[in-house]
Amino acid sequence: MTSSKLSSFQFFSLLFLTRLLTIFTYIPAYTKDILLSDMVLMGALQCVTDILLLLPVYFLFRKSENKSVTEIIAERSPAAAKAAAVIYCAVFLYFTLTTVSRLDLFAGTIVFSETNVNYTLIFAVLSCGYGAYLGIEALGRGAVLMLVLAAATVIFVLATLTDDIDTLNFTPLFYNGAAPFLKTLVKSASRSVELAVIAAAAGEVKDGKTKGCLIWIITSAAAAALIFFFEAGVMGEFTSTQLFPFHSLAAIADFSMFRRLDSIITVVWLLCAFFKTALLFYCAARLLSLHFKRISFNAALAAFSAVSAAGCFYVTGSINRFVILDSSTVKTISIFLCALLIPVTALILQRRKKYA
Amino acid sequence: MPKSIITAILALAVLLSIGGNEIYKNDIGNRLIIQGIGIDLEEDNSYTVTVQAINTNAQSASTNETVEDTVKIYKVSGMTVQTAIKRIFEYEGHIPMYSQNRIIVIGKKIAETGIYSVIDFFARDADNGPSVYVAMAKDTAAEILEVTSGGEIVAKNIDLALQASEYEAEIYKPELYEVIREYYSEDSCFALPVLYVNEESGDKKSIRVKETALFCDGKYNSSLTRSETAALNFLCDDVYNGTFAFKTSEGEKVSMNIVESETERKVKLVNGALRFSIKISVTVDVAEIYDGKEKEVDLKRLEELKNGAQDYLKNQAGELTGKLYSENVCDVPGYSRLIYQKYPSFYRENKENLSAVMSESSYSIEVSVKIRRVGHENLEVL
Amino acid sequence: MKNRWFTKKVEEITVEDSQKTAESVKISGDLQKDRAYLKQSLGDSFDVKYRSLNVSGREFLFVMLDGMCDNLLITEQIMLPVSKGDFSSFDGDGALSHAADRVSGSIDKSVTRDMETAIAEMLSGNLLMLAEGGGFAVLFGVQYFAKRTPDEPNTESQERGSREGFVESFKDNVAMVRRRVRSPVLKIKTLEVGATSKTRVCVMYMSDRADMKMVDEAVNSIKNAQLDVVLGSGYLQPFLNRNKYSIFSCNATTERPDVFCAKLGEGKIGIIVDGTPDALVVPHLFIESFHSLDDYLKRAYYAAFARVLKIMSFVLSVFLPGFYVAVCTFHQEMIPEAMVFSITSQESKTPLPIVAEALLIHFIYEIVREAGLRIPKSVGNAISIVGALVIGEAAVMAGIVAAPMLIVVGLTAVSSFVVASLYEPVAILRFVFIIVGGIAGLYGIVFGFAAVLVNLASLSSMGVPYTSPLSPTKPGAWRDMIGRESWRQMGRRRMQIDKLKK
Repeated sequence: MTSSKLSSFQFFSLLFLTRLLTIFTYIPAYTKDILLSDMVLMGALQCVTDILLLLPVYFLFRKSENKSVTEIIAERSPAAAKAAAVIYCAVFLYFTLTTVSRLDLFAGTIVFSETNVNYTLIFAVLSCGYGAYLGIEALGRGAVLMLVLAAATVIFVLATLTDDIDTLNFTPLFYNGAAPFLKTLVKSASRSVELAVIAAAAGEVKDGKTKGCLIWIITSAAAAALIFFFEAGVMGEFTSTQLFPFHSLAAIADFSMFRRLDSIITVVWLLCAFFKTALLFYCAARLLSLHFKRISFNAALAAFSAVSAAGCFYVTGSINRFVILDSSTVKTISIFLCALLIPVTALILQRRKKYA
Repeated sequence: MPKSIITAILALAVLLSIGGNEIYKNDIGNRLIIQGIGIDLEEDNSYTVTVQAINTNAQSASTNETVEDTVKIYKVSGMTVQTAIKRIFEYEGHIPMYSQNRIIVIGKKIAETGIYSVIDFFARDADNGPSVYVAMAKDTAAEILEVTSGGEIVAKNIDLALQASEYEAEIYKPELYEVIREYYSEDSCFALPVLYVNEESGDKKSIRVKETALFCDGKYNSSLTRSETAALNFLCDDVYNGTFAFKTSEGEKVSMNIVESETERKVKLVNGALRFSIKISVTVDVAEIYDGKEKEVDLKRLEELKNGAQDYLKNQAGELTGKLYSENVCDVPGYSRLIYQKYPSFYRENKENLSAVMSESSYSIEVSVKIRRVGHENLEVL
Repeated sequence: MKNRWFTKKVEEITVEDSQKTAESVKISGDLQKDRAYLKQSLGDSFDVKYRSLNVSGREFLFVMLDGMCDNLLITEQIMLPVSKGDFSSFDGDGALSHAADRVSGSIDKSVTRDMETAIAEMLSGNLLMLAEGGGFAVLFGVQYFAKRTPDEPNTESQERGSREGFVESFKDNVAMVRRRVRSPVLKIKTLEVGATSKTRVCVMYMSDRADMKMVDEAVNSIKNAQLDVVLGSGYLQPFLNRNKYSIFSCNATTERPDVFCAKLGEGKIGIIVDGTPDALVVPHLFIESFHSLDDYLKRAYYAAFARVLKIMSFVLSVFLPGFYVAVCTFHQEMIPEAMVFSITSQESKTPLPIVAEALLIHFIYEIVREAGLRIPKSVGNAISIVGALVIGEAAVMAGIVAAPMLIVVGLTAVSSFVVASLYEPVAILRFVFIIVGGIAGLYGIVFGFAAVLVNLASLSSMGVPYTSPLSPTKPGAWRDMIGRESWRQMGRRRMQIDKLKK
C-alpha cells in the first residue's frame, strides 16, 4: 500500500462517485410516503442535511487538520480510539454488504437475469480489494478520471430525454404532508456513508477540505435533484413501480439507432460501485491497522475483504435477507453514530485536552 | 511468484469449467430473438401467446442468400403469459431473448376484460425494456403476428409504422412505461393503436393502423377514427409532424403540413367549478390547395386559410373533448392531473367522484395557426 | 512471502553474479611481468595482438584488439611517429610521455596506472601502450569497427522530421544528440554496467532544467543494477521502474535522436546504452504514449485529431474483443437492431462459444504476428497469404469462426499498431478482458477496467505520477496533453517535468 496524501479534489471526486451510486440505486419502495415532486425536493435538500451532519466534523478538523476522528480520540484515549475504529469498521462492513448486495440485486434482476451472479461477486470483491490495496491516492486519481466519464454519460443520457418530459407527470408538493417528507429526508441522509468516510479518512486529505466538501455537497444535491427531476418528469408514476428507476429511465432514452442507453449507464454504475466498495475496504483496513499495531494493512484488508465476500454470498440470492439487511433504521443509527456521536465525542475530548 | 501464477491459472481453469455451461447457454447463437409478442385470452382463461422470432437459419452461411422465411412463428399456451412463453423452449431449445422485442399486441378479448393481467410480466422483466410499443389487435393478436410477408419481419414493420407517428399525427403510439404509468393514475385511462390485417393484391397481407382504442379503468371503452386520433394527439401535446386536410368556407380543399405544435393546458377553479383552457399553437406549411379557379395566395387568402385551419382544428378538438369528457369520462389526455397539481386539496375532496366533476367542467379550446410557408407557388403579395 | 522451494530450485541451476570489484593492480613497468599479466587475464584469444617495439633502447609494448582498431591509423599516426622518436634521454615515464606527445594530437589519449582499467579500455577498442620502466599506460582512441549507418527506425516512422535513428555505437548516438543541442547545459554522465560486459551507459540531461535528485536517482539505480551482461536498454528498465507489478512501463524508449532531445528539453533524463539503438527516457507519462514528433511538426488542430485517434485506437484494441464477447454472451440488448440478425445468424453456425472463438482467433493472430516478426523477408509474403487464408476466408467458410469476429480481430489488430509503444500491455490486457467478458460480461470488464485504471493511477515514474497531468490535475500542463497549443504560445514557456511531481 502506498500511504500518501491526496488532494481535496481527488477525495471529493471519490465521494461524488459514491454519492452518484447512492442516487442510481435509489429504490422508490423505501420512500413510498412521499410523491415524485417531493422526491426532487428531497434530492435538493440533501445538501442541508449533509451540512448539518458534518458540522461536528468541521469544528473538529478546524483544530486538527491532518488527523481523522479516531486519531484525535487516540490522543486522549487509545482504548476509546480502538473502540471508535471498530465501530467505524463495522459500519463500513455493513455498508459494503448493502452496496454489494444492491449491486447483486441489480445484476441479478437486470443485467444477468439468466446467469449465476456468483462470478460477478468474486470479480467485485477481488477487484475492489486490489483497488484498496493500491491506496487511497490511486483511488482518488482514478476517481478524477472517472468523474468526467460519469458526468458526461449522465448528462448525455438526460439530454436525450429532455423532449420526453411531461409536466403533467409531476405531483403537488407535500401532498401527503410535510411530516412524511421530513421523515424521508432524514432516512435518505442516513444512506450517505460518505459522511462516515469523511470523518474517518479526511485526515489523509492535504488541504482545501472545507471548500471541497461544500462543492461536493452542492454538486451531489444538484445531481440528485436533476436525476429525480428527470425520473419524475419522464416516467411519472412508472417510477414508483421500478426497482431501479434510473436504469429504467436510461432504457427509455434513445439516440439515433441506439434504442436503449441503459448499457452505458450500467458501465458508470459499476464503476461507481467499484470506487465506493474499494474506498470502504480501504478505510476499514486503514483504521484497523492504525489502531491495532499487530494488524498490518494488508492483513486487515484481506480479512475485511474475506468477511465482506462471505457476507455478500450469504445475503445475495435471497430477497428476504436483502430486505432485512437494507434496513433504514440500522443505517440511520450507523450514520448518526459515525457522523455525529463519535465526532462530537472527539470534539469534547479535544476541548478537554485544550483546557487540561 | 511462479507458484502464484500457476495457482491463478488453475483457479481460472476451474472457474471456466464450472461456469462453462452458464456461459455457453447465453451465447447469442443460442438465443431466440423475439421481435413481436401477441397475447390472446382463451375460453378457459388461459393465454395463447403468439411469438414472432427471427429465423437465424434464413441466411445461408456460404452464399448469404435467403433460403427460408425470415421469421418463425410460435404459438404457445399457458396459464400465465410467462409459462406460455417459456414453452417455446420445447420447440427450439433456445432461450427467448426479449430485449429486441418491438411490439406487444393485445387481443381484443383481453382488452375488454382488462390488460393488466398480461402487462405485469413485461413490466417485471427488465429484459423487455420499458420503451417497447403496445398495441391492440382488431380481433386476435395471433392473426396480426401470423402475417408473414416473405422476407419481411412484420413486427418490425409495425414498429416502424408506429415510430413513424412522429411524422404522422393520426397515429397514437404509447410505449409500455406510458401504459403502466397511466394504470397507476386514478382512473387508469389510456389509448392504444388498433392493428388490422390488410389484404393486398395476391396473397400478400400487411398490417395497418386504422383506429385508436380508448381504455378506461384498464378496459377497452371505445374507438377513435384517425382524425379523432389526431385531435387526441393535439390534446395530449404529442404532435411533432403530420398532415391535416380541411375544406375552407368556399369549399376549397386544403392540406397543410404540421411543422411544430404546442398545447398549453391550464385549469382554473372559479366558484367551485373547474374551467379547463386548452390552447393549441400550430405552425404549418401549406402543402396543397385544390381549387380550379384562383392559384395565387395573397395576404387575404392567407388569412382565410389560417382561419379555416383554426376552425377545423378547433372543431376536431372540441368534438373529441366532448366525447372524452361526457357522461362516461375517459381522461386519456390526463387533465385530471392539472387539478391534482394546481388544486390538491380540491382534488383530495373530490377524488371519489372526479369523473362527475370533470364531465360538469367547462373546456375552452383556442387554436392559433401560424402559416410558415406556402410552397413554390407565386405569392402575389411579394 | 518468499517461496523457499522455488528459490532453492533456482539456486541449484544458477550462480551468484560476482559483484566484487577486481583488486586494483598497478602497472609494474616491467614489460615482461606486465605482458605475462595481460596474457593471463586475456588468455590466448586470437584477436588480442601484442606488438613490441624497441626505439632507441627503450622497449615499448603495444596491445590491441584486432577488428576493433583502425590498423592504418595505428601504423601511420602512432607506431611510425613513435618509432622515429629518440627516447635515450628519458626514463620510463618520460619515454611514455614523449611517445604520447609524438602521436598526432587528433587522436584521443588517456593514461592510467591501473592494469584492470587499461585492460578494460583496450577491450573497448583503444590501443594500449606500455614502456619498460613506465609506471603507467597510455591509451589511444583508435576504435574502428563495423557499424551501421544511421537509418530511419522501423518502429518509429514519422511523416515529417529527420530520417536519422540511433545506432549501436553510443559515441555516434551522443554525437547525434550533441548536434541537435549545441548548448553547454547538456551534461553527460558515463557509467559502466554489467560485471562482465562492462557496458557503457550514458546518462544525459540538461542541467538548467532537470531535477538533480531525479538524475541522481537514475544514476544510482543504474549503478546498483546487479547484472552480469548488459546487451540492451531493456535490461536496465526494471531498475529504473519501481513499480514491479504493473504491466505498464514507466520508461519511454526511443530510437530517434530528435525525440530524445525533445524529452531532454522537458527536463527528463535520457539513457543511452552502448550496443543498442534504443535509448531510455525517464520519467514517462501515460499520456505521452500517444504523442509523436509529427504532432509537433504539424498544425495544432491536426495534432489534436491524431492524438484523439490514437487514444480511441488504444481503447478499441484493448476493449473491443472483450466487449464484443460480453455483449454477445450476456448483453444482447445492446446490439443495435440493424446488426442483431446478421450477428446472430453467423454466430449460431459456429461450433464454439464466442469466448472460445475469440481466444482462438486472437491466439492465432498473435502466432502469425510473431512469425511475421521473425520470419526471413524472402518468405514473409507466404506468411501473409497463409495468415489471410487460414484466419480469413477458410475459417469463415468452414464455419469455425464467424465473420463479425474476424472484423473484430482485424480492427483490433490494426488499432494495436497505432500506438506501438503500448503493444505489450495491450496484447495481454486484450486476452484478460476476453476471458473476463466471457465469464462476467460487462460487469467483469468494468471491474477489470477499474482495477487497471487504479493500477495506472498508482504508478509513478521518478516521483512523477504516471497519470499526470490528468490526475493529479495540473491544468497548466493541459496545453500539450490531448490537444496542443500552437508554438507561438508553447514557445514562450517551456514545460518542466519535475513541476508535475507530487
